Amino acid sequence: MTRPVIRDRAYALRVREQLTDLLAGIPANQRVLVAPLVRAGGKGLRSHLIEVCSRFGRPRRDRLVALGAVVELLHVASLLHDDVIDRAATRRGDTAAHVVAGPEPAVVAGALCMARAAREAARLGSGISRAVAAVTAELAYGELLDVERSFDTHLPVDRYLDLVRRKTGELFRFCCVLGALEAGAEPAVLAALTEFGVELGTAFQIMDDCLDLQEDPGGKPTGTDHVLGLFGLPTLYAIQQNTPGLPELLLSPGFSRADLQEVRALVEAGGGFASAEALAREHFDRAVTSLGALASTGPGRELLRLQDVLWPN
Amino acid sequence: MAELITVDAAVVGDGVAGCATAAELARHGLATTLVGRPRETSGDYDVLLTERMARLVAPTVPLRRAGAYTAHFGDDATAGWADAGLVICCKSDLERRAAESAEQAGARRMAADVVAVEGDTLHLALPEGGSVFVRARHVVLATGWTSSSRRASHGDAVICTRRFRGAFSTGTDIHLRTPSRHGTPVSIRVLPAPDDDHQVSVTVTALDDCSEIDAGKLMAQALEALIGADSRYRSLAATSPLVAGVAGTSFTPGASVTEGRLVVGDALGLLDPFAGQALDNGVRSALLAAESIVTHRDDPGAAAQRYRAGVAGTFAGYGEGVHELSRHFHLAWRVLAATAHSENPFFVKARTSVLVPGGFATLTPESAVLAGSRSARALHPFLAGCSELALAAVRDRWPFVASVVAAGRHEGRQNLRPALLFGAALCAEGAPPDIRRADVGAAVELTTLGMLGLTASPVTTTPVRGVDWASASAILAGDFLLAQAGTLIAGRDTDLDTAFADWLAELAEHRGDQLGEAPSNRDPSPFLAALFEFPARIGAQLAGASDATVALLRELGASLGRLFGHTEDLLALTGRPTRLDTTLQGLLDVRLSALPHLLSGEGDVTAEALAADPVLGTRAVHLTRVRARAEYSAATELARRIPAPTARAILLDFCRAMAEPALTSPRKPTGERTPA
Repeated sequence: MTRPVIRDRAYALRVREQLTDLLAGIPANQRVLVAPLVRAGGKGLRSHLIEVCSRFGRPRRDRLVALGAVVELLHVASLLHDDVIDRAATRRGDTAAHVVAGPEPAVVAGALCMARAAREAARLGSGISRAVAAVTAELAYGELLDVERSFDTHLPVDRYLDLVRRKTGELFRFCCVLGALEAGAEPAVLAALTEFGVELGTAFQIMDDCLDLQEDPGGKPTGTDHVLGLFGLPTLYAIQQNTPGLPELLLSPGFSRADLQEVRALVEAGGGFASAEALAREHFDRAVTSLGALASTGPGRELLRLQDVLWPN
Repeated sequence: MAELITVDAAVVGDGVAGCATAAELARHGLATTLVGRPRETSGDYDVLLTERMARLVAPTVPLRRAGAYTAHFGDDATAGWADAGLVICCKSDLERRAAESAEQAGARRMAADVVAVEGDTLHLALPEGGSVFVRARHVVLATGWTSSSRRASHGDAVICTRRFRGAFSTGTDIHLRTPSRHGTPVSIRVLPAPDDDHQVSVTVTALDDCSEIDAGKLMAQALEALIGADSRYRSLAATSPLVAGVAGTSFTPGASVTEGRLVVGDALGLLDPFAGQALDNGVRSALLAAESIVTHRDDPGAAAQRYRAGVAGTFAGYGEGVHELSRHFHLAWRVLAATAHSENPFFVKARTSVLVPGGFATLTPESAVLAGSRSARALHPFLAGCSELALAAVRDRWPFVASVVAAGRHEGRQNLRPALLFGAALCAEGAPPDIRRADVGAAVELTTLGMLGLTASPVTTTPVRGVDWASASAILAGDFLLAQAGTLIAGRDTDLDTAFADWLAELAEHRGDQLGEAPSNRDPSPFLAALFEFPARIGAQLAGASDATVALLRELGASLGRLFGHTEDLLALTGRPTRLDTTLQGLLDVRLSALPHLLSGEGDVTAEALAADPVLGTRAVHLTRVRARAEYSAATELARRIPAPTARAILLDFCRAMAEPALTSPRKPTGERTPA
């Protein structure tokens, strides 16, 4: 998704600086691959979650910046690797790293980012280090589950939700909890944010799936997942509604980007987008519910504003 | 009054695994009773297993070599082994000879039904009437995969087999399929009959959570698939009745000991769905059980504990259930098919460990084993602990990657593995290695394998639709293994997090350097040195060694890493199996060969160029051997200076085993001709 997050600009800037520091001294041939991703910045959504959730307590600003840089760096690492796996041609508006330099430098650059993130996490303490290792393993596993279901046109919705939770929900949960933990927030707050993070991540991933099929003038190319055989929730819903011709089209050997227009029309006709969006809203509502009384606090209201990112209109 | 017999060990079940256990126990002087029911003749069939295991359990069984072993993935993807060390024999022959072998070893065989097992006592009903009680210090259950071994929702496989007339190949073929429904063939194996050149036996495996599959239909589907692959199969005509049975795939370490009794063989649920057999695993479990009992003959509790740990460090298992197994199977199939021709070490390792029964135990070259080191034996429990933790970190999530992690462990012999170097360094202050450090050893091994995965990105990226399975699996497995290694490190109290992260960064940076430089400067030595340096240094540090000793170990590790690289090159250049199971071109492709560096100025160094130019080939061998020998002297010099005798002895053995390819008299390199 390309819509900007409303965020603490000073914090975002310091995270960016810290990120640049963490990457200091990396070999030039890898810096050229990593630097554009850092410069383009993306939404900075993950560090934003850390920052907002830290307001539930009293954080140390410098550590918060460092944590933000760690999660953004992990994100950069996963982008580098995912683009090789997905054969994505562009990323954050630029040509993808593996296309520029070949897959192996991109893979190595990703590994280096991960290692640098791990070192920074170790500096921040063994608890952080442990949490970062655990979430990294969870992400790789989530990605595996995603890849394993390739060309499954009849993936049950609960299985889809399970992999979405692992792929995206876990990382969002991690960011929310980390921010609050760092600030010494109450256990009840941590519990609420744990659930909030997973549900928010789920809503985000569903909407990301919707966008994959919709026309997008810049940034991520549309339909990538469909060309890979990874059908998102709108498509799965439309297939469940027995939309005629859709599975056949998706599984036809000659399927290409040129067919996406037709897929989009079929999914629309089968009510796929509407059902998927409804489910995303359901998960966002659950996220809000899990906040309980926290929703009316300052940081709680800030978290609710994330719906403007999900549904800008 | 029923008779009461008191023995050291009782083995219930006289199938292959039961007989193997009883024979081993009796051979070590334990009074052993082997209890089996009179055999039902459910039809005869042929089985495939490693020659090593066949000779071990039934030295006199008539057998035939399996010849070339080929795995087919449909279309044109095949992976083959000229000789995978496999043999074929008739199952009933194997069982009969195994039972004879157990009796010859001194086990007492009793034909009886087990009425009850209470504590250490078996209540047996004799076929002629009357009963007998057997009290045994150790009880081993080798009762096969039965409905009671099935745990709710866990996976079963249905296997059926039949002999046919009409052979046209002398090798063994295995056709692997990805059915969209459960209960249809995933693996179809065609073996030449052990005693008849004109017959084959066809064995079909299907995954299912119920055993209500129609075996006749399954065999018919299999034959149809075979004919689709090769129309000559049309001529097959059945010559024996169809035999069908169920086997378990749902092994978990917890299943290995039940109420103090050791569970071995098929009862563990060790079926390998790709190879469609469980025999080798079954015999391995039997050997582990016997070894544990012999080690703790007076302490059944300790024997059970040792067995559980041994099993947990040896087998991967697919414990989650048939749906998950099916999903993992599909992914593994895609990866194996996409990389069937790849010489990349990561993929070769994966395919050998997943597709070949007994995989690495047979195919690991001698050069990868630390043979005859008395000192290294002291590290056995520690290394078993490392294997157990490494497998535990991967097993639940990713069983096929766990198979790769589990690969290459020999019973009773130690591989030249990173954990061995780490374990030896842990002895640097004279004390034996602290088993609590096994988590670091496991992390080191997962990292090494993970780096191999991240090294494995393919050279070409064909713009076809769909996931690039080769890259996807290697990268995701790499990321996952590194993360699990990080979790093991972060989970401990000693503060290794930073050192570990620095190690990862260093490894990635060295790889990056190699990629950026001109081909002539692509020296893998810094990367390999870093790979081996960390376990040696950290081991010494954790042992509390002095700064001087830590520095010594650090240098030694780096030297061993470089030595590893040069000896790999040498093995590949002289046409011998390499420790990374690849070829010269395979080493060059993943940039783990130092030859482009050593031969800089010679243009593009390829296996083909070296084979075509005898002068260049000879020079390559010469330069590599000189480097390897120099590195060996340096490493030995360093190892001699280690104060603690055990650490010193193990590391000197390690150096020698690593250098062996450079020390033995050279064979002709590929393409080298004798000058006229």
